[in-house]
Amino acid sequence: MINYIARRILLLPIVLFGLSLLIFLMMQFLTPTQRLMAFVSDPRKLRGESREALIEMHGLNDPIFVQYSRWLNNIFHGNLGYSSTVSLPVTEAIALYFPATLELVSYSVIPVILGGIWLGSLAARRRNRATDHVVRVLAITGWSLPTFVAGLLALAIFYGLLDWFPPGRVSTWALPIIHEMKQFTGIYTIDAILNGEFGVLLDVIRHLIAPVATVSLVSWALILRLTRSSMLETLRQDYITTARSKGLTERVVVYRHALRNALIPVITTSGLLVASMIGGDVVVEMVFNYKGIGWWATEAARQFDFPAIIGFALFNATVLVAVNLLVDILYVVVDPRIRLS
Amino acid sequence: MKHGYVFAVLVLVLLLASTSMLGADVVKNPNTLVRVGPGKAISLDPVYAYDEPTIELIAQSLETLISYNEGAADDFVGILSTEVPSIENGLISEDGLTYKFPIREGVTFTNGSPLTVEDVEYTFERALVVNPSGGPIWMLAEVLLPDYTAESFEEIDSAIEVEGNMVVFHLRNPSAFFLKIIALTFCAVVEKETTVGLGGWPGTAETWQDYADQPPEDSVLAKNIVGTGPFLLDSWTPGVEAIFVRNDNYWREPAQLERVFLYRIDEWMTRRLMLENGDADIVNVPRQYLDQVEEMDGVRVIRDLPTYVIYAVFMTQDIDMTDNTFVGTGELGDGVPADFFNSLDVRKGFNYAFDADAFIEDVYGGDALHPASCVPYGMAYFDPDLDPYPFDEDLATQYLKSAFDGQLWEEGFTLTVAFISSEAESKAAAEILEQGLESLNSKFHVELQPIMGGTFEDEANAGRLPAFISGWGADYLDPHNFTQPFMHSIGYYAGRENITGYDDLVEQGGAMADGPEREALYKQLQQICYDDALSIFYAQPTEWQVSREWVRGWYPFIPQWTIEYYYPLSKSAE
Repeated sequence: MINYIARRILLLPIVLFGLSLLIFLMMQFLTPTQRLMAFVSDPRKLRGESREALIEMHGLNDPIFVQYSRWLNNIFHGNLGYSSTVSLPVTEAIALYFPATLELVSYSVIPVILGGIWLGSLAARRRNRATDHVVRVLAITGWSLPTFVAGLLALAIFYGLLDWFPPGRVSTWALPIIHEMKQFTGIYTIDAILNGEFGVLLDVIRHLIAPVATVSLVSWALILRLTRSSMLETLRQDYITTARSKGLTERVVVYRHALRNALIPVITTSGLLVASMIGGDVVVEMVFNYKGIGWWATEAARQFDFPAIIGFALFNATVLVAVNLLVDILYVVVDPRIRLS
Repeated sequence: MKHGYVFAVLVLVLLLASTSMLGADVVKNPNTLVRVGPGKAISLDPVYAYDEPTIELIAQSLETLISYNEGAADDFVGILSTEVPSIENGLISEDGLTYKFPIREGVTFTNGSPLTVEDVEYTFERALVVNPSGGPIWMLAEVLLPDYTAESFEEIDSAIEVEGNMVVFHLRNPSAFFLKIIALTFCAVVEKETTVGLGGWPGTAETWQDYADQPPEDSVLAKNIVGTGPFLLDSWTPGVEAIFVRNDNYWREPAQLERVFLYRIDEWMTRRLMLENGDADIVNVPRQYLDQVEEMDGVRVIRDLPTYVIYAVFMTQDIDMTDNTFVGTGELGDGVPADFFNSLDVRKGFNYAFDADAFIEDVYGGDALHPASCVPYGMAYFDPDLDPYPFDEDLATQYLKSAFDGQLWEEGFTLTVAFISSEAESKAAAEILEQGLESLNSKFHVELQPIMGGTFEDEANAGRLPAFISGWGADYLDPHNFTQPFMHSIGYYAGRENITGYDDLVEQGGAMADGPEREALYKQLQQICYDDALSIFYAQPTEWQVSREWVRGWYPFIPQWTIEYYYPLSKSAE
């Protein structure tokens, strides 16, 4: 197991190197002036000599290998570059925006995965009965509802109409308190608790409910449907019949024997789902003005902010590899027959 | 047990909902202003203040020597200077080459240090030292230095001097717009001691080149702001939000607002709901949603505010034909020849074939003016006697029949009209031109060519785009800022269109002091631009401002920028 994990971790730099090279080469299809757009707010303000000076200053006319090696050298010195989108070094931008996304994902994962598994199992156990039908209709509704529609509906009803759950991460009254609080994690719920600011905590939760519900509603259906079909498949296996014939209760048969095996594909999908969620749900972050890493990455892409794009891609790849590793380890925990050799 | 869960959930929901009802008075948060808009500020260093979000962020905490008087285009009030220089008060020399600004005493920076005349001198010298490419300092350099960038520190040092309690500027030529430049945010005063202490330019001749053309991320003031203004920047999360708190030690009466929150929110629906719920006081509203917000209770929309932006179809003379894919065959019929737009008949015909009124109605819902020439409405020396080219198919036909001795009408043309791919309004303008021309003659073909930003700049600068669509917004409120880009052979657009022959007049206008002579010269330039149909000037949009009705005291701060100034604002139901 330890060898396996070590091998996977050692592979990470190679994956990241390949990825960075790929993105860097793709960028070279753009002209120096197009790439220069990353550094100016309004191209009409660029007079001819300014443009040339800026191209020169940013080394955009240098040979590709010079530009790439310069960039790589910076990376090795812990410098991922400067994100002009948010006027911050890329590493600081990740540190600033990632906790927001992580907070959103952490609270969404609970209803998405646990809720999805529970309802999926329930639907499988009560196949073709009223519960199954209701759950399936809910799942199809959630699955077919585009995130932006769900988000805008949630915003219009719960903020526009009821004024319950406003957009943003906190209210204006709480923002100065947040800035004065000691920031342990950047995750406001945790920081509020650690600082003893329970009014702020309540306010943060109030702002989290609508985006979490939107993310959950859309993602939850996937896990539910997968669990249900996997469970149905497992419940048809011989060893389940054996368990039942031994007189075990249905609850024990389902949750102790069937569920563990049924979870293997669910774990794989959940891993990918979590990894993609950590990359940021752009739509939810935009609609609810929840400035997370997805929002930053989208803005960076829109503005040709190349250091940010590459930094984000590297960060995302690292997360993906880490989550995959975690998934592989979970396989073993859930099903000891699997060996990581 | 189940009832217990239901009860707990109900309590939680009620508790959360109740927090939204806190302070639900008539005026929400009366001492706090919430300003919501899109756009990101790039730095807190004024030498980079060349876009609206950056200017708005800086203008609350840093102050200029003089300021526009409540949005008036050519009236000023002293801020850190006790007087506005004029020839009458002796602070502008008779030859117009020396400007003196007496520095106000008793003003302190937010860190407690007193404002000194050395701070002001340092501010301007530093601006000319750093003078970032693509930044706004070229406007100062144009007036104070022999060229757009300094060749030696001596040039900078001799341009700005201290005389007692006055800062003295020595101009290269008389300038009618120097005060208009000095009132802009990139001329806001920074504190020398703090800047040097943080590692900024130490103010010495030996080091000036180390700081020249510094990119924004390297500036020590990028994240630090110490000013004399009415608000302190309490926190700034780039791209997300800024919080201002009132400067209680401000040299004027302290602001009425205690706090201002500036949020960047790109999603219109979110901004709209915040405005509707009263959680936002001033909101940027896209033009197409103005009707929606006008129907909201408690929301005020001020329309028809002047802007100093002109959009035009530019027509390139002496097109560069080398490997040019935008000119078809390079001959009439299936393309255009290099001298296509050298013909005055063609340019006039095109002007008459463009239905600007239809464009303004379709795209701006009527909220735009149709400029006749290159100086916008509202600008000094604007000539109201010039009538814009009307949409007139008969006159268009007449001119195009005369062009190229009738050959153009016989053979037709295939013309590429380029615009930046992300600009929907430019595309609409290209379509209007297409319709206008193709309806005249079945042999006239217009091809719309969206081009990515960057490539567009390259192609236009190379003189390879036969016709292209773009716009120009005023950097400073003087007609020179329009005649130079539109008519001077090295101007931003005229240089691309290969327009020549007017340089002397344009330069003369830029170097003259205000007065009847200058007025006559600018009327002459506008007449030339009109008679020679240099471009198709089709729209000067108007601006608007949207706020809750409880916001009081608003006026446009800098006429050519859509930014908010929080100092005069307050919130009250009455």
